[in-house]
Amino acid sequence: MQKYEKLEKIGEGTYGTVFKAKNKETQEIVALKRVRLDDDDEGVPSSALREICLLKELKHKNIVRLHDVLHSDRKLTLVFEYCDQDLKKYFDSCNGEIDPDVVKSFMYQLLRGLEFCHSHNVLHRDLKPQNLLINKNGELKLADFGLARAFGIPVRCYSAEVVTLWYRPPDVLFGAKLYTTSIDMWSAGCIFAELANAGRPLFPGNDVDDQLKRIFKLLGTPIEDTWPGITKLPEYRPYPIYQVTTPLVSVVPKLSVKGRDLLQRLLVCNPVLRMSAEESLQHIYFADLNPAIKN
Amino acid sequence: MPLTRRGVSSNLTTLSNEQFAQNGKKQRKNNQLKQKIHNDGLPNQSSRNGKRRSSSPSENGPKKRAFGDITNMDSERLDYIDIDAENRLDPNLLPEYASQIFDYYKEREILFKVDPYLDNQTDITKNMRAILVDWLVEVQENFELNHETLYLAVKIVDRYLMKKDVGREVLQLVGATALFIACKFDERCPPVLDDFIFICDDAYRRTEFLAMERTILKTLNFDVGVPLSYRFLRRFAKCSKATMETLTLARYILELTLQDYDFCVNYKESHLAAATLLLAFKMKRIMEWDSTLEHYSGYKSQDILPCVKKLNALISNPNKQLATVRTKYSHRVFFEVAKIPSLDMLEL
Repeated sequence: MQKYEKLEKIGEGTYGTVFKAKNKETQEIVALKRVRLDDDDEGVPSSALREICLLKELKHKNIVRLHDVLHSDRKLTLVFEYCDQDLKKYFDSCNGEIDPDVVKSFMYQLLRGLEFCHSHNVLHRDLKPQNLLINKNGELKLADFGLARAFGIPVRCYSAEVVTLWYRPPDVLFGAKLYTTSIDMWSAGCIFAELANAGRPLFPGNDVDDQLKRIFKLLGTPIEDTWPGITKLPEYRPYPIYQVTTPLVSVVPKLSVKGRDLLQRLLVCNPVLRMSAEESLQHIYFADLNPAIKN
Repeated sequence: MPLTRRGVSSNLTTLSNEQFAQNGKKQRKNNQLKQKIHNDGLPNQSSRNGKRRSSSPSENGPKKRAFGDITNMDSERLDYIDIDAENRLDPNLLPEYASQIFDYYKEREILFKVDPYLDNQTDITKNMRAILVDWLVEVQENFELNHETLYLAVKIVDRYLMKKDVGREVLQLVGATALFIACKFDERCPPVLDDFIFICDDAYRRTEFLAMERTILKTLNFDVGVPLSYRFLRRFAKCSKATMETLTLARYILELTLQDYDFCVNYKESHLAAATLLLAFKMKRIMEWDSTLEHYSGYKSQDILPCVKKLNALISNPNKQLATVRTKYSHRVFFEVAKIPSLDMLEL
């Protein structure tokens, strides 16, 4: 590949390796995601195919821009806009301190990018700090659409093997295959708490069982009354009835009352009652957001 | 009219059917198929959330039942029923995003309009295209693929043929690869490439498939997120509270249009969807195109009537050779809608 000069390896995506590179003609710095193709393989992996197709559609300032696709018989290269770091690395540089205005700004941008996906019939299905890119201007962009998919109305059953464990909602942890945009809203809630705590994950479970226990210990164990249909989920198992004993304020001590209210509305076990991206952008927590970010 | 030895001939069609059976591949089971229709259907949709669905609506006319007091007031102010407000307790219908998403589809469908291309093709004809689509329908059934996958594959074929001259000996490769791509885009568990090689009776090698995949994706610039008529139809049917049977009749007509080059190049996806639904209403002599449908479809009945007439002509003169769609919809699980007589043209 002559057009781009590889500078360094940045990381691994859902499929394929990501490099920082320079466009030799324009000097522009880009990120290259490279996927190897083998003759005995299935051709373009469906994750790559979906990522490319969906990102072709989703042009938004809070969604990483796909500039180009280079496709040969040996490899497929996706050329993305370059961002300096992801939110995980940003946390590492925070040393446990984060400006509440930054929390608000990042959260707003995350929700705005997500609202754009959802209103353009796309589910991300893998939101986590590593997949949120941050550039020098403090702009946040949703990235890695390798698990994303377009959805129809009504939604059909999709894969339950989606979303990294810590950010996976309880309905999907119980094997739900029929889910909607609410799947991403749970992840957004987990990320919100993590942001407020400058990078401490909210529910760092070890496995599905531990993950559910951590969630229920904080939010209370849902039952048929609070979540009709829960016992019908494909992998439902009863859990001890934990009562809510820890108030959110002790979980996210630095988050304002309004912020906690928003968090509470996102971290709802019953997916039907979880707040949507569209609604959450209107939440009073964002009323005093810097207007420069809103535009 | 067999194209070539390895073409999309009726021989191959039979052969592939038998082979499916031999291999114990996903042969259609009535109960599974029925389940599939019901999962995709309007009433009685399976719900994991355990919420109550609206009961089967009556076909005797548009019942303007408002959801609650507030909706009721809104309905009086609006001249249409706010369907998404009515659906607000059913998250699987995405009530908060449905209207934005369909506005987006309507904006976007224009980008995917198929311009007439056969005049620029040196070898293939309408009939060859029809044979190919008939075979794709059969593969869709045998692999138990989503209908969206079938519609997308046909669209990929047309978009590709719009831009590339294709010889008859590779037409089936184009069709099978288009379906392979559509499966990757939409199916939860897409069939593997070996399955596609197999259904083409080993007429094409693996490397030919992979090369064709690259060519198609490059030619289409990876733009395969197409707003499909099938989705518009589902939306419009929901807005009209049509029963599953009426929707199925409209789906049958819509699926027949896939084979017909003239429908695929002349109409927008939403236009075809609206026209098939209106024809279904007329055939079942049930309801009219009301203000709610006008609002959600963006079409008045007079806009779509010329297309409705052509659709009626299409179903009145069935292609005897290419009967896959008709056979499929003559089945009980599809309410035998293919047996419903077309209308006298004077009635339209």
